[in-house]
Amino acid sequence: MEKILVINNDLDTMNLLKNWLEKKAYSVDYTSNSNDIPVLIKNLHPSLIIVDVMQKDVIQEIKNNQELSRIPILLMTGYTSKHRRKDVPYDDVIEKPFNLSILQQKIESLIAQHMVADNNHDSDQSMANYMD
Amino acid sequence: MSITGSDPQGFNFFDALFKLTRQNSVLLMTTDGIITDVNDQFLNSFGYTRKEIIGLENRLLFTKEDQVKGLPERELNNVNTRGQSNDNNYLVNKDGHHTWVSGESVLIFNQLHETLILKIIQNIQEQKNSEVAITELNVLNENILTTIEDVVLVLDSQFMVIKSNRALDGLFKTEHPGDKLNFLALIKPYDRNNDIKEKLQSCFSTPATYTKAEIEAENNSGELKIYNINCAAMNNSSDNRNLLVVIHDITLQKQAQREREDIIGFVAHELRNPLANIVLCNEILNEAIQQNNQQEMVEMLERSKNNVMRLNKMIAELYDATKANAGNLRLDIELFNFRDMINEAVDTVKGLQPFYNIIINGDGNIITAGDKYRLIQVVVNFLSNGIKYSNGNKVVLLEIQPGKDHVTVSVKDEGLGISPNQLPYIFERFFRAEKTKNLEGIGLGLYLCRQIIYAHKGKIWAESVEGKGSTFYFSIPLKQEINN
Repeated sequence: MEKILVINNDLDTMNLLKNWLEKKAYSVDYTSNSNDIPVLIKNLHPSLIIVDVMQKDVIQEIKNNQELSRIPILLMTGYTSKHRRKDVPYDDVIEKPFNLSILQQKIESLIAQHMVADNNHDSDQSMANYMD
Repeated sequence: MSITGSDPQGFNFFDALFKLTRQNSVLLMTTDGIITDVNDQFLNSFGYTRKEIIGLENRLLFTKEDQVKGLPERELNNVNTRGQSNDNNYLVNKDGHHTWVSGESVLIFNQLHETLILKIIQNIQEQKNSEVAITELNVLNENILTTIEDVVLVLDSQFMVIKSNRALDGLFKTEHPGDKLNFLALIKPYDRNNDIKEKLQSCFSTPATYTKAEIEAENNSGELKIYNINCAAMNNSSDNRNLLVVIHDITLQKQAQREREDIIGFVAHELRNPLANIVLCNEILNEAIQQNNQQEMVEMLERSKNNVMRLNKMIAELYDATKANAGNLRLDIELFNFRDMINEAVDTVKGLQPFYNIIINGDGNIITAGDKYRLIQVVVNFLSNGIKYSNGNKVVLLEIQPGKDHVTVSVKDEGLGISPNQLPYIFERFFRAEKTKNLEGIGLGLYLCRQIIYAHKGKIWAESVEGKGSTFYFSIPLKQEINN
C-alpha cells in the first residue's frame, strides 16, 4: 500500500483527504505541525507528500535533505498567481478548489514516476556497490 | 547737443519740446544744479508749484540714499564735462513718493550765451514694476523647481541634460557624477528593453506628444526605487525641439499596491480552504450516493454545511474589517444586562464546541449601554481563540469584573501562549502568530474586536506566557454617548 503524507493548515481538508484517499487504498498520515515533519517523513517513508504552499519552509527542508529529496511533492495552493510558488520546489501542483479525479490522476502519475526513479536509484546503488 | 533760441525757420523747437510734451518732465537748471524752469508735466508729476520749485537744488529731487552716494554731483559732473549724462534712478516728489525714472541731461546755450542744463525725465515705473514681477516670477519658478521632490529636466535633441533641478542629484546611481549628463546613458542600465529610449525618441519626432513610462532603478544610496517618467516635447522651433522630463518617485504607492495585492491574494487563498472542502465533500458525497452509503452521505452534508458557515463567517469578518478600517463601524447603542450578553456569547460557543468547559466567574448583573451584538462578537472571539489555541486543554475561564464606571472581562486559557515579540501585534490586521499559522482564520478576528472596543471608547489588551497560556481583556465604560 502506497503511503501519502498530507501537510496542510486546514484540519478539515486533511480529514476529508485522508477519508477519501483511504478508500482509494492509500495509507495516509497527516500533520500540520511543521516541527515534526522531517522525523515523521523518515519514519513513514511516504511515496508522495501533498503539501500546502504556505508550508514553504517545510518543502524547502524536504528538498534540501538528500535522503528525502527524491520524494515527489504535490503542491496544493489557493493562490492562482504563479508568483507565489516561484521559489518553491515541487513536482506537480493542484489549485484549490480541485476536482478529485484530477487529484487522483496527479497522485497516480507522481507515484509511478517516483517508483521508476527509485528503481533507477536502486540500480545506481547496486552499480556503486559493484564498483566498490 | 546745443540749442540756440529760435531756429532759422521761425519755429521755436525748444519751446515746443519744453511746453507741449506730456510724456516727459523737463527742467532747466544752472550748471551748478539750481532749477531755473520746469515744464507743466514736471509740476504735474512732482507736485510742486512753479514758484516752489524755481531756485531749489536739483539734488533735492534725488532720494536720500542717492544723495549720500553722490549721484546728483556725478550727474552734474558728467554733463558739465561730457555735455551729456544719462541714468535710471528714483526721484522723489513733494510728498516723498518715489518714482523710477530714466533721466537724460544735456548742456544747452541760450540766446544770452549762458550755459544751462536741460534735463528730460521719463517715468518708467511701469517697466520697473514688470521687471520686478518677472524677476520675482523667475525666483519663484526656481524655488518651485528646487523645492519640489520631482526631478525636472530639459533635454536637447541629443538627450543631453541642458537644465535640471536639484532633485536630480542622487536620483540614479551613476559612475560619473558631475559630468555633462546624457539622459539615455543615465537610465541605460535600468532600461532593459530600451522601452524608455524608444518612447523618448518618438516623443521627439512627433510634435506636441506626451508619453509616460515606469522605471525601476537604484538611487545613489543603493535603494531600489520605482519612478514614473513623464515627458513632453517643448514646442520651440521645429528643428530645435527640447524635451521636458518630469520624474516622480512612486515607490511608496507601488509598495502599497503590492501590499494590497498580497493581502487580497492571502484572503483569496484562505477563502479557498473552506471552498475546497465543500467541493471535496460534494465529490465524496457523490461517491457515497453511488455506493448508497447512507452514513457517509449524512456526514458529508454536515461537513459541507460547516464549511459553508465557516466561509460565511470569514466573508462577514472581511466585510466588517473593511468597514471598521474606514472608521465606519456603526454601533447600535442600547441598554442591556451585561450578564445576559455574556451568557448569549457563551451559549453560541458551546453550541459549536460542546466538549469545552467554559467557567464564568464574577457578577455581571449590571445594566450597561453598548452595542450588545458587537460585544457578543468580541466575547465569542475571545472564547473561540481560547479554545482554538488551547492545545487540547479543555478549560477556558471567563471573568467579569464590574467597576464604578467600567466593566472588565477577561478570558484565560492554558494553551499555546504567544511569544513576547508577537504579543504587541496580535490586534493588527491580518496578524497570525507564527506557530498558529496552521489554524484556520484570516487574522481579522482580534482586529475586529479592537475596532469594536475602541468604538465603545474602551480598552483591549492581552497577557501571555509562551507555553503556559494567554489572558485576553477588554474594558468598556458603562455609559455610552449616543452619537448616531
